[in-house]
Amino acid sequence: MAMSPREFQRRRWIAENLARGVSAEQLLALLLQFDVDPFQARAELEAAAAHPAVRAARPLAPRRQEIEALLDVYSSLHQQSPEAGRIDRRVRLSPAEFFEQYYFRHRPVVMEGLLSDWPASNHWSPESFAERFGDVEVELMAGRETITDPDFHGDLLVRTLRMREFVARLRAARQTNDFYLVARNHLLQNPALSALRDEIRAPAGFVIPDLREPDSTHLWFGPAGTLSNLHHDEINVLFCQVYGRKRFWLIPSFEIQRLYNDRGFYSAVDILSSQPERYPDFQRANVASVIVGPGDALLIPVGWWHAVRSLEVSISVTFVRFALPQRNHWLKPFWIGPPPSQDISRRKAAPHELAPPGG
Amino acid sequence: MNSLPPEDETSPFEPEWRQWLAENLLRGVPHTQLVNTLVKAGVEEEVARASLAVELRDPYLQGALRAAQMHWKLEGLLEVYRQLFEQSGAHQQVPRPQQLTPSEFFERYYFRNQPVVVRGALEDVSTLGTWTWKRVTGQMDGLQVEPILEGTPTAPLTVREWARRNSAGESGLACWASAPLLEREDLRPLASVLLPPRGYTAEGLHASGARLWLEAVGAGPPPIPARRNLLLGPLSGRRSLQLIPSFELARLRGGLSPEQSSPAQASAPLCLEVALETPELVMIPVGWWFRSLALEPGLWVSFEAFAAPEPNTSWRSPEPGEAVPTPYPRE
Repeated sequence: MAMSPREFQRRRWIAENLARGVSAEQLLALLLQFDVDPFQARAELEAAAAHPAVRAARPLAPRRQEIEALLDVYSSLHQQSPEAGRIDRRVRLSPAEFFEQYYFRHRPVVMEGLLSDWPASNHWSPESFAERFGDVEVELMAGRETITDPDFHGDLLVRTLRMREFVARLRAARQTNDFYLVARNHLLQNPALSALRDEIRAPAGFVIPDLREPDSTHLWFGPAGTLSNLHHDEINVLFCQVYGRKRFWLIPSFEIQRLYNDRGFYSAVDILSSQPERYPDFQRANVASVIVGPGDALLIPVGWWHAVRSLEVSISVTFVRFALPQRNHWLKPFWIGPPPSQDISRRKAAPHELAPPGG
Repeated sequence: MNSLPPEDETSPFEPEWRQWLAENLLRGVPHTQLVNTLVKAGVEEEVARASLAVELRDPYLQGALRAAQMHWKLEGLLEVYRQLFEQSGAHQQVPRPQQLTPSEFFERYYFRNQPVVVRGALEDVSTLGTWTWKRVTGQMDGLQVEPILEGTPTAPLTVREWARRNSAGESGLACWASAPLLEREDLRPLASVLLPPRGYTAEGLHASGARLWLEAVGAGPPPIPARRNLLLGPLSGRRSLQLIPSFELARLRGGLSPEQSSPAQASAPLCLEVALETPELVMIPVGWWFRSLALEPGLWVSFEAFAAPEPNTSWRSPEPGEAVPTPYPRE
C-alpha cells in the first residue's frame, strides 16, 4: 500500500529537522501535539535517525547554524541602519555610481528616467499590441488562480492565445491573477514581434548593448492584479517598467531564514496574508515596499526576496546581462527540494481552462 | 517518480552502498554519474536506476536532502557576497578616508559590515607611547587578562603568566589577550588620557567599552573572529593586521559546497592587510577575522560600544540543540 501524502510529508519533516540538528525529544513533543500516535511517532523518529542520509547530513548542522548566526548579524546591522525598510529613488544615476553604490553593495535602487529614450515608452499599450500584433500567437500562463502556487508549477499552466484575444481578456478581467504573460515565454525572441525589441534600448553602461543575445531581455505583460509571490532570483535583475504601475516588496537576501524557503526559490509565506502564528520569523523580516511606474528601473539584487503585484495593466522589460566583465552573479546551488516535475509530496490540481472573456 | 512510495519499500542495496548513495546525493552529485559508478562496480544498469529511484522517493532521504540543500544554499549566498566584494575592488585595501563623519562611518561601513580606518580620532596621544609591553607585562603583576580564543575571552590569568607561557611557545595558547581599561587602578593613568572618538563610540570612556589588548608574537597564529565590532588601534608605533571578510566563513571552516569548490573557486580566503599608526584605529566588523603579523609584541586599545541604536552587535556561536524546527506540514 502506498504511503499517504500526510505520512510522506511527516516523515520528510522529521528527517529534515533531525538533519538540521533539532533534537528528537523536541520533535516527539511536536508530533504528539499534532496527534500522531506515540508508537508511530517514536518508530518514525528512530527510522529517520538511523537513515544513512540523515546520519550524513547531521554533521553539517553546526556549520549551518554558524552561518545562520552570521546572517542574523547582517540583518541586525541592516535593521539599525537608515536603509532598513527603504529603497532609494535616484534620478540620473551614472553607471559607475549604480555599480559602486548599489550593485556591488547588493542593495536595490529605483532609477528614474532611465527609459526616456525608449520608443516603447510612447508606443506601447495593450491596444497598440492588439492592433499591431493581433494575429500573433503568444504563450502565457493561464489558470493561475486554480492552484495555490502558480509560479512553482508554471510549466503546467502554459497556454497559447492570439495577442488580440489576450488583450480582450485582460481588458475584460479588470483585476485578476489568473493569466499572465511572464518572462519564460521568451516573447522578445519571437520573430513576429521583433519590432518590439527595436523599440527598447539597452540602458547604456548598465547592461550589454546587444539585446538579441538569448535570455538577456524578457517581457512581462499582464492584467491588474497579477501577483508573483515571495521568491528570489538566482541572478541580478534590472526591472524596467514601461506601462502601468507595480508594487514591489523587497527583503534582503541575508534574511533567508525568515522567509521559510520551503521549495525551489519560493517562500512559503504569502505576502498578502503572512500568518504570524505559522511563520513567526517572517514578522522580523525587514520588508521594504516601493511602487514602480512608467519610466522607472529597479535593481533586484541576486538573492533578494521579492513579491510583485500589478496595480494596473502592466508591461515590463527585464535585463539580466550587466555591462561588467563578469556579467552576472549566480547564486548556486539555490533549489530546495525536488524539481516541480518530481515533487511527489503534493497533489497537483489540473489547471482549468481560461475563463471566457467578460466572465 | 510521480507516485508516493509503498509503505514498506526497501532498497536492494547493502548498507554501505546506501550510505555511499546518500552521501553523494546530499553533495548534489548528478544522478547519471552515480548510476555510471554503480554500473562500473558491476551493478546492472536497470538495477542501479531502480535502486536510485527507491532512494530518491524515500521521505527520509528527501528530508535530509532538503537540510543539506539549505546548507549549501547558505554557503552559496556567502559566495555571492564574496564575488560582489571582489568585483567592486574592495578586496584590495581597507578604505582610509581623509574625512569620515560619524554618519558616514556608520552608513558606509559599520552597518554594511565593512572595515574602515578611522584617522586622527584619538586626541592627546603624546603620552600613549609610555605604555609599553614591558611596562604592562613586567610591572603590573596582578593584572588579569583574558586570552581570546575563537574570538571569545576565556578564563582570566595574570598578564605575567600569559606572557611567560607565550614566550615559551606554548601551543594552543591565544596570542591575543585583553582586559577592561577601567577596572584596574594602575591602568587609570592610561584611561585618563584616552578620549573615546566622539560620535563613533558611546559617549564617555566607561560607556565606550574601552579595553587594553595585548598581542604576543605567535608562530603564524590562526585568524580569530571578531565576535563584536571592534575599533582597535595601536598604543604606539606602526603595527599591521590581516583582516579576512566575514563571508569567508565556509572557507575558514574548511568546507565549501561541492558546487562552489571547483578548482577555479577553491581558492584561499580573501585577505586584506592593514597597517596602522597611532592614533589610527581600524573598525573590524563583527564576523570578520583578524590575524597578527607582528614581529614584536605590542599593545592596542579598543572601543567596543558604539553610538548606534544598539551599542554593539554580537555574533554568537550557536549552542547545540538551539535549532528551531520548520513548520509542521499542513494537513
